[in-house]
Parts: sequence; C-alpha cells; structure tokens
Amino acid sequence: MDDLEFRTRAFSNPSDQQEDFRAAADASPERRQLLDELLELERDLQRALIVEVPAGLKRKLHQQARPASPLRSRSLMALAASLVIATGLALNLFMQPGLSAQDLALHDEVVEHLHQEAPDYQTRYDNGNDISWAQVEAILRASGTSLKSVDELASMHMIFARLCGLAGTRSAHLVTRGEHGPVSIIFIRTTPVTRGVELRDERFQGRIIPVDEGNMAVIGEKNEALGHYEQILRDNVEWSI
Amino acid sequence: MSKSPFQGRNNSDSDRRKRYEALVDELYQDVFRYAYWLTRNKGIAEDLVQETFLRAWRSFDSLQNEKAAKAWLFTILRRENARQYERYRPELVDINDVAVAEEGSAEPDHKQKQVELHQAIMRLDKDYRDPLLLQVIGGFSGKEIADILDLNNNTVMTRLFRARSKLKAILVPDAVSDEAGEDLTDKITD
Repeated sequence: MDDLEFRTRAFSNPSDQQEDFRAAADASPERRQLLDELLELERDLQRALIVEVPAGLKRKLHQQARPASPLRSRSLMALAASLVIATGLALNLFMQPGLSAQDLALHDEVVEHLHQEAPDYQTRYDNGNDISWAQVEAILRASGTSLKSVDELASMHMIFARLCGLAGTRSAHLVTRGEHGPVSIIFIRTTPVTRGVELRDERFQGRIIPVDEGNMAVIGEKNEALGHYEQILRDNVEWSI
Repeated sequence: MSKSPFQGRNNSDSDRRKRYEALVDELYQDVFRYAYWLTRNKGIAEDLVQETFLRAWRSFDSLQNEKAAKAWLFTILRRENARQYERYRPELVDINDVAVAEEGSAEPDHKQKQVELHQAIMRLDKDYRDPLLLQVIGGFSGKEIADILDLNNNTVMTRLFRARSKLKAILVPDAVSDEAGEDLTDKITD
C-alpha cells in the first residue's frame, strides 16, 4: 500500500481494522503519527457529539406500543370518520344557510382531516408527550403564519405540530392539551370564509373563522371550552406574504 | 447460530411489543443523538425520534433482520426530518446554543475545544457532514452509509476523507492538504 492510499484510507476511516491497513500503519513512523492524530480526532469527535438524552424519552417510546382504548382503534376511527363526514355535509347544507360552496367545502375538508390526524395526536395526548414551542414556530413559519406574543401562549401545552395540505395550501395544524382532550388549532391561508362556520360533527365541536386574510379553526371535543383559545389566537396571529 | 429475536417470531401482540421495547432500549440513545445533530434542536429531535419509533412500530413486521434495525431507524428518521422539517427550515449555523452533555461540568479548556469542534462540524458542507455523523454516531460502515444516503460506496468514502481533511484544516490550519481522496477511491475498501 503506497502512502497516498494509506492516507486516503486513514482519513476515510481511521478505525479501519483490516489487516492490510493496520500493517501499513506500522510500516513507517510518519504513517503511525498520522493515524494517531486521526484517532485522537476521532475520540474528540465522539466526545463532542455526546448529547444528553431527554429524561423520560425511553418511557414515551415504550408507551407508543401500548394498545390504545378500543374506541380509539384505527378501524373504528376510520368507520366513524366516513359516517361523520356524510353527516356533517348533510347538516351543513340544511343548517347553515348563507355559507358559500367554498365555505362548506372547507368545512368538510377540515372535518375529514381531523379524523385522519386524530389517531396520531390522540396517542400523544394519551401518552403525555409535549413538543416544544420551537417546533411549533418552525411549522408556523413554514405555513406563512406566526404568533406575535408567545408569552401569552406559553401556558398552552403543545402536543402536535404538522404541515398539512388544506384548501390547496400549506396549513399549520397545531394541537394543544385541552381540559377534556386535544384541541386542534389550524391556520389556513386561503380566502376567508363568508362568516364563522360552526363545525357539524358527532365527535368534534368548534368553528372556522375568518382572521384577516386567512382562516383559523379551533376545534376540540364536545365538552371543551374553546372561546379563550380562539380569543388569544385571533389576537396574536400574523400572516406573512 | 443463535436465532435472531426479529426472525421466526410468533405474532402475539405481547411478543411483538417486547421485541419493539428491546429495540428501543438498544438504539434510542443513538437515534436521538443523530436526530439532535441533524436538527440542532432538542425539541424537534425528540419529536422526530418519537415519530421515527411510532412509524417503526406500525411497520415492525417488515423488519426481517436484527442487524438492519439501526440503519432502518436512521433511514426513517432522515425521511421524516426531510418530510416535516428540513425543507421548511433554514440551515442553522449558530451552534452556540448547543447543549451537549459534558458542557456543564467540563474544564474551560476542554469546553473551548468542544465548542471549536462543534463549530468546525457545522462549518462542513452538508454533503460531508452527513456521512461523517452516520459513521461517528451510528457506527455504520461505508456500505451502510451508502445505502442510507443513496450514494455509491466510493462517493461515501471520498466524502468521509474530505470531511476529516476539512475538519483538520479548520482545527489546525495549514496542517493538512486535500491532495488525496480524488483518484484513489477505487482503492478504498470498506
């Protein structure tokens, strides 16, 4: 093995244990010195990349494999979702006059989306898994929205933040821990609805409201008080270009 | 040869869960460490790790070989990071807020060295940093890194060569030249 090949292999993998490489390293003091320097760099790298693992992460990961309650099983949720969507559409048509076809379409898309995502965020709610505001802000930025006063919102325990395709736009779907279950907050950057659209659904309640140049939906379980979420968020949301 | 716990299994839920938990116990720290250096954000890293293991649990039956488990998890994690965060998030280069485990108790000189090394790692081009992190944190071979990054083995070895060359050049200026690694990748064995 010539010097150039030795050098290339040493830099690519100084921990190489192959016989020919080890023999080549011992063939000259210069090679030995180079390899020792690289192995020291390797030890420094190993130490530098150590990160404290969050306490409780292992427990949370174990819990992900625990069975959810039968009512939350995916097949039942899927069945419930189709029934709910059909029911919601029918109720919308008869009970919310004055809404445009676009408003109703957005309503139905939001309801369908909630039922699709519910198993994921419900698992996080059940397992007590919170996420950081940094994650929430990253998702908001990516969706073209931001929240002005994070201080006011700091008491909200966020458990889920994801970019979702709604109304043909990249929307931010956040979920916070409510009194009676998860509370979804969705920012949809699309033409504002004509007026507030009440959700018609067997499981969820809430509404989609126009906020400046977009829409915001705050949706929770049937017995959840949503007014204060709506108030705080409406006052703080900003839409970027 | 002993039978792998991931092969020839019975399909009971509790057996499946036990094997999943064994996988978590063995690999979650490395997976978190990699997630952290991929995102440089503890909260996002934790969320990514949870998402990764959730997806792994859902398709756990597709894992046929214990030895492939680590590469499988790292691949899921990279895909999830790309899907959820990477393309929407600017590349962060400020590593001053890095919270590594040793920093709190480290000696000043040692701490300074760590900070310099963090900054040097983050100054590497992503093409060089990615395989280096997989090799150092994941302990993967060149072939495994090539599979994870969807590159050929020679490209991976060249990038690893350059990653360490550049690190040395940043940490000890004028000590290293980048003359090798261009044409010798066919001589590199894995």
